[in-house]
Amino acid sequence: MPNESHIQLDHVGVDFPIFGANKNLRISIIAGLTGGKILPKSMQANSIIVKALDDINLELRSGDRVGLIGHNGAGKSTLLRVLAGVYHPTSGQIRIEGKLTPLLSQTPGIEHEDTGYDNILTVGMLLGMSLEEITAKAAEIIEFSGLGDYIHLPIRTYSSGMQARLSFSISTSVDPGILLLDEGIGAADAQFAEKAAKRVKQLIEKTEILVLASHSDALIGSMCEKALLMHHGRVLEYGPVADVALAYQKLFQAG
Amino acid sequence: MHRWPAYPASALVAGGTETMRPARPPLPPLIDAASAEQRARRARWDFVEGVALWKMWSRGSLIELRRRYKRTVLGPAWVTISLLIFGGTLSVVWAGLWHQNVVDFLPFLLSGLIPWTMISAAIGESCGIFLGGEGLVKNQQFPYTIFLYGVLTRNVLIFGHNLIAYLIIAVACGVHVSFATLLFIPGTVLVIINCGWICLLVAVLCLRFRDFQQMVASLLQIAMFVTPVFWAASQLQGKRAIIADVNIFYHMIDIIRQPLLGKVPSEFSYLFCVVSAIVGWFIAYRLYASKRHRLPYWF
Repeated sequence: MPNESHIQLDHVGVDFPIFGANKNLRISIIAGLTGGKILPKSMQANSIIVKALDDINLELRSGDRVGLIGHNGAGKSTLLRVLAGVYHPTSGQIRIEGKLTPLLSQTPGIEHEDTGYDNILTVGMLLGMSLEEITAKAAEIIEFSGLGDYIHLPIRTYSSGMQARLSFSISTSVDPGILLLDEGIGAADAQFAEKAAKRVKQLIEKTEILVLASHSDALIGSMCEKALLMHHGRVLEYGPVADVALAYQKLFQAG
Repeated sequence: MHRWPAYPASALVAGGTETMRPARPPLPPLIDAASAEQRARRARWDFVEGVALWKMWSRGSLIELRRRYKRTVLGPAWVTISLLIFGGTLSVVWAGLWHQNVVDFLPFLLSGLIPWTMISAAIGESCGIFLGGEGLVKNQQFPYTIFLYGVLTRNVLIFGHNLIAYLIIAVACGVHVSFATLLFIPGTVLVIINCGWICLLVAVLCLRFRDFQQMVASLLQIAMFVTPVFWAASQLQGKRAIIADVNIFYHMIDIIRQPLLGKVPSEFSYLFCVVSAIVGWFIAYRLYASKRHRLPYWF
């Protein structure tokens, strides 16, 4: 690694316009032509906005392993997407130095009509590897997934367990830098689980900064040292996992 | 036991291997919600970095083509075969209607139909390029232009494919070949450049306003009949000539069609295409640069 990884968020806010509820071309044109006067307030352009993140301040350095805790809709996934550079904040500033590896959707870019091998190359390149790097790693990925000759079949012919094993093997083959995970990396296969746990551990050890969103205290407890409790798009608590987990439970009981 | 073919990476990607990654302009590490300068820089990065990722999208285009014709015996040859069937049938009927020779009419029809197929397919497909990439767009930051480059590459590949079929027909029909025939090369380049801005504009607008998808589909259908594809612009009499003169698709088709028929296209068509490329890219790029950072919010 040439540089230390570093993440800094200053007063970051994210506002979501909700389309489809009422904002569409017709309304935009009508609103544009009439200055929005003839439309009822609720139908005016940009009227529905959801504040997904509000005034987030956070600084992470190499070695930090942070879990994001919170209810559904608390802003965990949105925060991960802001860190991934997907959503540019609508207010505030974010500075990220280091190589980013976001694994937010299960496997980005997987194509069911393509063979397992083609998918290894496609997904590997999308995860930031060059074609040469991923080609060199392919043998190891195939070996670990235990797919054997099936690797040359389209993955629509795979069982869900086989698909999960392939996705898992590709995702965990990266050299992560800053690793962003939503609900961990799944490998729902009992036989595979032990082997998989070891591989995840190795991956986490290679990781410079880990940010993991999860509902499970246990998962966060096993992978992270610090936790961040989110509620309605704001940070309620940030500190050691045990303290934050306690705060979360209190919040839970309070409703 | 049937042996599965192993796909060596080099077979999927044109060109040799490369051990060093090319030096690229780095993306600024700071994202400032208020900085317009940073937005512009990211848009530039998209176009430059997008080109640097050519291995990804060229491979993607090839795989996509292969995927479409998976489990068919003839594979991508279907594109050409269906074009030939369509063109052949139509020529027999229309040549009869307009008292023309099939041998004259068939090359005329195909030389217009082939560029039109490329243009309309590229524009039609670009409606869905961002929508289809939702999983990726919402997972990570990358140059969104790879979708644009991919859709263009795919249709240029099909165009090249169809051109070979045209050559066979043209030779069989005795089309006059001259130096003017070589003009199809600059013509094709100019058409691709124009397709680029139209597709970019369509892709961005379709993502934001879903009504555009329907609109583009119906406009393309109308354009096919309004544009001189199946008939010659010279058949338009009097004031109706303006239907071809102001139609960008007519000029785009004609700077490929005339060379394919061994003739020199009109200067006006070239001028029209150059001017619209400059103006069109200016508008499309400005829109993209100002809205790029909002694209992930529009799903």
